Amino acid sequence: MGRAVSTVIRVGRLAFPVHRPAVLFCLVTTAALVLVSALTLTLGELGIPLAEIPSALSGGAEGTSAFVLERLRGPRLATAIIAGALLGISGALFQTVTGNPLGSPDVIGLGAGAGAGVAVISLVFPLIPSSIGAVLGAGLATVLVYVCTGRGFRSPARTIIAGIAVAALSYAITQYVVSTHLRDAASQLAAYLVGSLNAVNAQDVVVTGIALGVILPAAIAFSRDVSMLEMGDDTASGVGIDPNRTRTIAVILSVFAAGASVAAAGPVSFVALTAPQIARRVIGTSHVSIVPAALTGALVLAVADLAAQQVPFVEGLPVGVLTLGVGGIYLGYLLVREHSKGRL
Amino acid sequence: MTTATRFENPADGLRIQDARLGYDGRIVSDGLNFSVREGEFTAIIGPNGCGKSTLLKALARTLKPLAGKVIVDGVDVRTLRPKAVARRIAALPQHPVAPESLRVRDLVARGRHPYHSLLRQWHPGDAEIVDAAMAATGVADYADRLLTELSGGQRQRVWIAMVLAQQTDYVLLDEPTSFLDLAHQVELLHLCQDMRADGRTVVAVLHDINQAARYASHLVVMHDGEIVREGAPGDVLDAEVVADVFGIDGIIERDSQSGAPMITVRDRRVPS
Repeated sequence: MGRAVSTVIRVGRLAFPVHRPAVLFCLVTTAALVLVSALTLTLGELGIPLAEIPSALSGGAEGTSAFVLERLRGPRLATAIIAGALLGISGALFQTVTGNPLGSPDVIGLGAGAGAGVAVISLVFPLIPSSIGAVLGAGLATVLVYVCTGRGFRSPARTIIAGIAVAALSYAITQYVVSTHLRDAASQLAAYLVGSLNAVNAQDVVVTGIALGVILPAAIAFSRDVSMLEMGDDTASGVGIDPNRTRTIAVILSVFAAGASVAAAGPVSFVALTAPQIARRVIGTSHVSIVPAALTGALVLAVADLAAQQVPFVEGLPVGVLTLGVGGIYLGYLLVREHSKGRL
Repeated sequence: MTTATRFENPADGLRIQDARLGYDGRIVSDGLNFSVREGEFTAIIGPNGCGKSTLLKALARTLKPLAGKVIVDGVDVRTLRPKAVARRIAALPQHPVAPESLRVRDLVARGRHPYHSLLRQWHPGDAEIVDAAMAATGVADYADRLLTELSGGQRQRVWIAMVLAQQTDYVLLDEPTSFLDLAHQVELLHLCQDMRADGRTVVAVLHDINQAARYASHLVVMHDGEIVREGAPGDVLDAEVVADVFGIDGIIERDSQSGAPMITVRDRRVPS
């Protein structure tokens, strides 16, 4: 008998098999995340001196350091990590439901829908929290894509084409709302709508944090059922899965995760597409890896935001412009690869 | 969902009652009644489009009957939780999809899924059951290989191992030998016989009449959505059924080893 790649984690009556390469991957990603966080807090003119970091984190910061940590970079870093994690979870679930890496929330217009939802709510109904608009927009976009394909999410090509249409529709709604409203509010929204962490505050951290706290455990518990769908509906149902119910729950979790992330950071593109793929490729497993995808999403967004703060030429740009640029190249690669494999 | 009433009558077995089966408005079978024979290796045979796969899909509950019901242990399967059914009935479709970068052992372990819950996704005995299933199907040597690296015949045995790990009394297989070369077809039919010898009830849709007659212990012949004959191979297959159902002008001979009926197509150049 060869070596087993799985180890079973037991906590009381709970038992979860995990892949050892996945655990290693998570440790490395977490270490990288700590490093990027330290760089984000310390680099540049306003950076907190490295020596002051431990005391600053335990509440002993004063003056400039306190301001930078509590108002400027702290919330921004925390939101990048949490929103990135939510995008990673959303992508991992959605890609498994559609059975294709391209069936990712940002490709099929879920992010654009959430963005349109935020635009409509914040400019037309300013009293309603924009996060509700994000979730409603994402949900509506998902329903539209589902209806437009004519057969749910099973056909990747149809899903992507319907997604392009829904994304275009969402952008049109966003543009209409933005251009017919007050210049001030609309110009604030403009940066947000490519995905930006420039204006996040402590409230964003709390809202996304709560969302992550609810969605992450649910997604972990549910990921095994979702993995079974990869064997085809009939095989999955043979081992006791209700394929339609499983897909519905996964899509709902995915919509909430994407919506919560968009509410705080705007529709940052391609994190949901790339994070689960990176995690999966490095680990080499077929199970839906929620925690690795979440950590990778957090790392990708934190790195992109660090670049948006410190790298010359891109400095000060909304983080979404960076992910759009890098992610677009990856999307092109995926399209070519999936096409050559005959899966489109 | 009623979980309390399940298995109230284990002797009742698996059957389909007054079923109307079809897809998208096209009805394949109507008023179909069929009881799975306990402890047998049943082969369902018939020409293309006769409804044999449709019947199996209904029993495997991947196709919902338009009317009538599928009953296991005296209870309508639709009132049972999917995992409860999966602990009684294992079913393998004709084209299971092999996920990328999944190892053989992990796939076989998925057969244990019906015994797990959301918070308890592994049991102490699972590893032994998975190992035993891989040993029984001869796939233990490549337990750590990727599924996508295996040949069609090897992969089919891995799927059977997953079904074995499910430890069900009923095993339903939809055309398990199609797309395999002859050696692997025979290997798979031997596995079906082994499962029966272990006390399982096996139902398989088979394409080859002679293989069905040789390896199965019970034959069900379908034609135009109806079951036209059922029984031991020697009683079921005769020149009449071969001509009426399969449209073959054939001679029934006996297999020299097993005595099973064997159809030889009449040579059109030899006057009868």
